[in-house]
Amino acid sequence: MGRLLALRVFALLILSLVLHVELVSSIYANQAGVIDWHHQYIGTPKVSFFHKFVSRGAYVLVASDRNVLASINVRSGNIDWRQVFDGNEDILAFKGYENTAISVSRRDNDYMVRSWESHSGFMLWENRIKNVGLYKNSNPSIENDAPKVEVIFAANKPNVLILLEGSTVINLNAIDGKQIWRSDLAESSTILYKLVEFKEKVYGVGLKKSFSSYTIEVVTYDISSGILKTQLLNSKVDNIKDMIVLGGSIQDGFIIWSEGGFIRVNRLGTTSIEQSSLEELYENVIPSFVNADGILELLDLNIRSRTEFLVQVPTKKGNTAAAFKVDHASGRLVALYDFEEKSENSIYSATFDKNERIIISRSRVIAENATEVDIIAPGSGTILGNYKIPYSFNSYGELKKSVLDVDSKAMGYRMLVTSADGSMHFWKDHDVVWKSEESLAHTIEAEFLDLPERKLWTQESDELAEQPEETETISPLIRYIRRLKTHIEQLKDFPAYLATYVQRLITGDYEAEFKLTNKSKVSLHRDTFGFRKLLIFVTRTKLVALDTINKGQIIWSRFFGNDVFEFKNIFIVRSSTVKYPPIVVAIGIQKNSEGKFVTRLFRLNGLTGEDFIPAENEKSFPPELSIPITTKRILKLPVEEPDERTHIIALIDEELKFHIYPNHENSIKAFTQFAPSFYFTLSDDIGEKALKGYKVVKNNVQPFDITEIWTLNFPEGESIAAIGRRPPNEKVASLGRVLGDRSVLYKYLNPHLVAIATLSTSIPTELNVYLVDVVKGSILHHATHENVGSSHPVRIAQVENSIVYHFWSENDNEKGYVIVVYELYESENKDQRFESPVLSSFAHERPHVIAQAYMFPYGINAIGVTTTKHGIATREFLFALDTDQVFGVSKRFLDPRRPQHALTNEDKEEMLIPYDPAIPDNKKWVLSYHLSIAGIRHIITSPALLESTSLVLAYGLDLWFTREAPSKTFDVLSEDFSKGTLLATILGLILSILITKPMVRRKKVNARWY
Amino acid sequence: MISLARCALILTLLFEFLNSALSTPEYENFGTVYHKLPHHTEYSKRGVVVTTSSSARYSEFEDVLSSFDITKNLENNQLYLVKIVDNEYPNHVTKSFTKSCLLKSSNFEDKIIIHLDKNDKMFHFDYYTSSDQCNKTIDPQTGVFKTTVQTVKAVNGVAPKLNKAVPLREDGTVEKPPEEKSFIQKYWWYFIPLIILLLTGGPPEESQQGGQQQQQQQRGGQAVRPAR
Repeated sequence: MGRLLALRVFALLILSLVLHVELVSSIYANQAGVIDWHHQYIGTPKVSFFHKFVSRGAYVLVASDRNVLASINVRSGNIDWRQVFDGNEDILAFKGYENTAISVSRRDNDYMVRSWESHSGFMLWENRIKNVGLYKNSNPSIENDAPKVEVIFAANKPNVLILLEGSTVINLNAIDGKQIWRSDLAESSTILYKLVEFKEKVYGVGLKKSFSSYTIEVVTYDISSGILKTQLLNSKVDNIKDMIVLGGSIQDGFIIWSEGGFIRVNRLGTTSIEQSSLEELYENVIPSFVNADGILELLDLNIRSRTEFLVQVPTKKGNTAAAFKVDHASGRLVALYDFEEKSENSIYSATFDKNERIIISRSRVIAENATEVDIIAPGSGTILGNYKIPYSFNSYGELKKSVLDVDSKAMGYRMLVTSADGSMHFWKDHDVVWKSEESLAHTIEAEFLDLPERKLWTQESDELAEQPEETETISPLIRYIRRLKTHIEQLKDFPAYLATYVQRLITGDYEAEFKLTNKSKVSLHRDTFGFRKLLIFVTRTKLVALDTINKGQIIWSRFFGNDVFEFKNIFIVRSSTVKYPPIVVAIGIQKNSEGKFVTRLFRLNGLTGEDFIPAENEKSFPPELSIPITTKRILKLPVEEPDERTHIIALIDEELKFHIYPNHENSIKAFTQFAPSFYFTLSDDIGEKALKGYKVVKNNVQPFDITEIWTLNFPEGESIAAIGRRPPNEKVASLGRVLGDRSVLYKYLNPHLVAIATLSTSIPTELNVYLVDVVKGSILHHATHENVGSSHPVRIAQVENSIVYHFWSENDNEKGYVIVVYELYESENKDQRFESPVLSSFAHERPHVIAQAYMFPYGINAIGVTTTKHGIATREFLFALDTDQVFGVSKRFLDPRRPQHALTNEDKEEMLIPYDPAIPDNKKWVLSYHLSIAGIRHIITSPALLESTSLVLAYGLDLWFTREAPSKTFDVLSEDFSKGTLLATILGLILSILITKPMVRRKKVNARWY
Repeated sequence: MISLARCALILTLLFEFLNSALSTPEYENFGTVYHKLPHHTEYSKRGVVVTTSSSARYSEFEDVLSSFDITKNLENNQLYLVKIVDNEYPNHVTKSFTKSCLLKSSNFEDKIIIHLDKNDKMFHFDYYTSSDQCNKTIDPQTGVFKTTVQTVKAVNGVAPKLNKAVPLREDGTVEKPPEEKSFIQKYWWYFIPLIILLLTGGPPEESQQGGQQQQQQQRGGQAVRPAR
């Protein structure tokens, strides 16, 4: 308390002395990255490999499931270059070739083959391959897993050979991408899976359906002409996983498959088959295979032309594996190394060192906090390394994939590991060099979580939590002593506080106390201005909490991959209070043992990520709950249950039953009291053709029944393209808008108003905008825009009494992006309100809508609006542009009252800006300055404690956080405010008083005497 | 006589035909209004609503409030449901509702607002009662609906006004910009000394110089014009 008071007095002093506030519009170059931070992500690697070419050193090239190609610096983990593909263009293959890398992706029905310069990321050539699989004899039942794209490089020629859709082989020139030949397997039921090239021949290895299983078929192409011949091998394979193809390039290629009790080997180009008995393998050759308990699995190590491979077998206690090699001369199997039985799941990767010696790594999670990596040279049977590496199983889950490399300079082994949550880890020997939380590239939802104040567990808070009985009995004296104790307790912190206060005064850096000077963990509490909050992200299978300061450092993360198939929502059901920690509920779906979906709910402490178990009523608030339903809609209700004061969550299932969580007696009681005034909508999703309103029917047992009370069918051919809802808990500072002549236009502030944009299927496309009251289902306003581009998305946002939407207009005059802004007022006339004192959805009161449209310079992917503590600061609309930037437009520019005539005195008084048909493309409005924030899908905002400032987070692929002051920082002293001068003046004044006081007194005394 | 009568009949028919062919018929929507009072278990017919692009009428079946005791007190949360089924497309059902106590406090005065699409077909309706607060003290006098019907169509979406803003005066009238004057109108007095010189018939050298001057001035005029 005392601290705050001192601060206030000081602030008041400064404010009374200084009325000059520096206004800053955009930031200076040296301010970039000071308050904002940007995390670049690429997504979970689909393909990753170490790429080395001559003197450039090694880097990791990655193709990810978010369709990004990237090169990552092995020392820092920074992204050297990145190419973000369109969301609908899937990358299927990526492979390094000399100083280039070849990618194959699928766009619509065509395949794009591109060559990239591997150290710069510049594209060298592109070839679009059309009509693939057009003539193929489609036989969909042949195999479950679709054939993959294979890319190989010819040994002695600059040729790239690509296998597409299991039937088409294309030979391209690696220098310019020109097609040399193309071969389609037209009338064949064979599906090719592998491609091998050696001795001027290209072999496609595939499976052909025969009576009960598959027969291996080899298609041979001549590398220069593409002429082919096919040949069937005498074989029987049950599954594609039972067959691998090795070798090629500088040596012969081999097919290895398991058939019956044997592993068989065929040298490509011949029909001879060598075989080894599994029985013998189990009993004599590999000792650890004795305990084998299941089908063996062939593992391709993908090491270019080498013929080493692994055989993995599950055992009773875990699993084991052995390394084998196909002897080049004899074509027979040679056992190399027995990895021995281990109880944990293992992942393997291989590489070779400069002596061409094969090196294999085996990695497994051995404890909650550690993994073990064995580095083995199977040729000689030597163990080159055994490392224990710190790893949090709770945060990352199992290991999924690893890529091994030998660092020839520093003589060490380094690995890129992908874990089950999707993140990347880079290990070198014992150490974690870097890791990247790539699961955040798959964020489903994000929420701001306010932090509690520091006085969390002090005596003062205990005083507040006093029971009423105690309050009645306690004597004033005891209370006084208690208070005194609290103050003495607080005095302990005073020196430290004084030190930071002085430091802050000198440097003006309000975040200094939170900066990590050493590695000690800073306690989680709110800062003076409320800039510090937690960002809670829910990704596919993981929850991650980031700090808004300290460059978005991860505070906690928790992996749920073993429990949850996919998360759907996250809700903050209780925000931080003085005594209780904030509670977060995450909701996901999972398949149960019968293959049916169940909904799972997790109740967590928002500050730590641990299960939240209350001190009392433990049974009523289980930290985990599964309900055997598939949910259609999940809502956070604006009602709290009385025990723990957490919001109730409603789950509506496919059969339109209404469940509430938590579902104990008091919670149901609280809900039934609230239910009569509760109306909700379903089927309000993008693409729906009707909107329906529901109400819970009175019945006191779970699940509740709901009944349809209204239906809104959009006119034929229309479906929902975008929905804009008012942000929950929105603060509106003023009920009206004061005009130039001091009269007021009263805002229409209906909390149940939803703005819906629909697009018609007719040509030309029509955009309809409906303002719907979702309690009553009435349309309060309906406008039609004709001739709208249907291939461009429509975005809509609503805040206070204004609605903003953005679309592409095909009209001749105004072809381009158009942005429309509505403002809703209670009446057309000044100083006039609705007749009834309460705004009711049941009253026939339609808002007066004023609208204006402008041309917008960019396409957009998301709209956000700044939110401030009391809603006094002018709003700013934040647009995620298709140029990967965040663009802020002040509400003053998106104002339908902008006059279309010369400004009158009243307009000037109202501070209106004259109408201009275009929103200016002002570079100063780009909040993200030169940063390229890829793939933004949402912009969310949260207020700080300072009225001027709003916290902004843009997420999608990348994360970008900043603080934005839409009306400038009117409540903060500018950085160049001279505190020194102020202090010197005060000191000077004190000094002069001290000096002059005795002089004046003497003079007065003297005056009396004489 | 017969032929005359036949002739007259043909003429009237022809006239009728022409009349109907010339005036495009307005699209008429016929919708049946159903309602469900709190004590009902099923929807029952309430009336018929007919709309065209410009007008709407509602006619009610008799005795729709039968067995509804208007003196009975209604609970605050009971709902009165209304739906309109399109007679032409029986699958096209739109529903609305209000609180049933509002019926009483508004003395059964209600309003149906029909939303028409661009083809003047009904796609939605809003249902309101004249009162929006449940007032238990008001005793309804009648048990007969007093219904008004209204149609609403979409307004045209605003478009950016790309033409140069016409300066308007505060009262809304267009402020006329001062009319542009041509070069000659503006600078005619430059020519006076020239003409005087020509008329007085000065020496031939002088008249040549005068000619050049005129040319220069005209060029100057052309250069100035685009800047205005």
